[in-house]
Amino acid sequence: MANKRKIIQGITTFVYNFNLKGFFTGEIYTGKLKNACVPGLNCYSCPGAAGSCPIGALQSILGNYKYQFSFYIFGFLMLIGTILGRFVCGYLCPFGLFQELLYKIKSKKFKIKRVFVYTKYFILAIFVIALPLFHTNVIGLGDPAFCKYICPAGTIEAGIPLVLLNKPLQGIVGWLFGWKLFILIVFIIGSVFSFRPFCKLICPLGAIYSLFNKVSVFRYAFDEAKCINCNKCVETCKMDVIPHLNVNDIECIRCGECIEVCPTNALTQIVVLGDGKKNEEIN
Amino acid sequence: MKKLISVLIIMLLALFTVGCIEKVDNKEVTIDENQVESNDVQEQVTDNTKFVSFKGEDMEGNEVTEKIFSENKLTMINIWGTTCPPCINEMPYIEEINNEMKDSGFELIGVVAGGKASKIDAEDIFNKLDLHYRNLLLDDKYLMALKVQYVPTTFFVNSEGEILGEAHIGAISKEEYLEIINGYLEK
Repeated sequence: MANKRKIIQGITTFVYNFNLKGFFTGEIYTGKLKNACVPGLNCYSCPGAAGSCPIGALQSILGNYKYQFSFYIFGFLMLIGTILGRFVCGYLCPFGLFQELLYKIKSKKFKIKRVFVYTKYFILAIFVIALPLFHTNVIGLGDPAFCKYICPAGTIEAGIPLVLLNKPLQGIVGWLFGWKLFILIVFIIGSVFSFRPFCKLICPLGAIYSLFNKVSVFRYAFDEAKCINCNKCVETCKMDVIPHLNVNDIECIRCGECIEVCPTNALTQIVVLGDGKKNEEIN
Repeated sequence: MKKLISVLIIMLLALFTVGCIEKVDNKEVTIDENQVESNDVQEQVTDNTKFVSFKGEDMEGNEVTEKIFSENKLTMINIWGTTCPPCINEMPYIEEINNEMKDSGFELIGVVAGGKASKIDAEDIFNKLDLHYRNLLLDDKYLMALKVQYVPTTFFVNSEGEILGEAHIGAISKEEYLEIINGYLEK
């Protein structure tokens, strides 16, 4: 499963961005498909993007004085969350793939302290929800603060290609573009030395899906009776999860490497429907 | 491994290229007003692009066509969106510009993206902000013909219906607008 992962991530990146002509014309696709969100973090304004980013859509609805609550986006996120949880992060996110490819560059690797993984909930609360909702202009319209001030996926997918391909935009590049470029470079360098730092520290979409990890239909199971305390799963996990203590940890992105490395099959993928009494092993 | 390194190098080069463009263009922005004036001279010699011929209506339902340009020496067309914060933030002070300059052969005309579908929202925003300049409901096909991809986009059009200089993308300050407008009016 873990070997197939890169292929699935690659296909996902392509499917999310199949408006290939956009990369030549510099025009973004604005047709009917854009009404739908993709599960992963993929910028709406990427010239190739065929769908919307759920985090971008969430902010633009919260920031609009006409709507109080985005049932569509919350419903979509809850649906994907209850089925897949952070499986989306491991398999269906182009920016995750990007960081993982950078991590393949040989270097000394560093772990990120556990306390810092909670910053993404702060980012979600402040930049995705509070600022668009409450920091509004004269008529009650809020900026999509996460997209505008933070998101490095937007910089690499949309900011850079659109500025390169559109001369008029080059004239209005200013401090904000410089700041977003700086954040992107920090995460590019960070990804070489640490595994998926953006996902661990910042990503509000991962933060949302993480809340569903324990209850999602697709999740992992740990059989204590089979465990021989070899600690291989802990050593393997790049998301710093301790599978034998908390197999469905908020940080688990379902890459499946712990399952592969487990010598006694104490860790398994399961599909749980209904009350969870009938667990079906799919591995 | 080598491939990865070369990919990374290419990406870094791309980033630095963007960084360079940024610097060069900041300079362009600062000399923009001079360019505007020098463009004026050239415009009399070179062919100008005409603003698209259009037929639409204003918020009161009066039919409006490109003939509206003949009413003034200079018309500023501000294309905006009802869900675009930068557009709405600049609307109160472009209203001021319109009031200050309307005796000088100048008129500001808003064009809301989305046309008739945006009418209710546009009226709501005009009421809330107490705006009085003319706002047109044009079919989006005209905006596509003008290759408008972003809001706000601002065109300056002379009495012949010819577009002066380049379209301005993004909001700019009142002072910057006034400098551009005075530059065109003085010629």
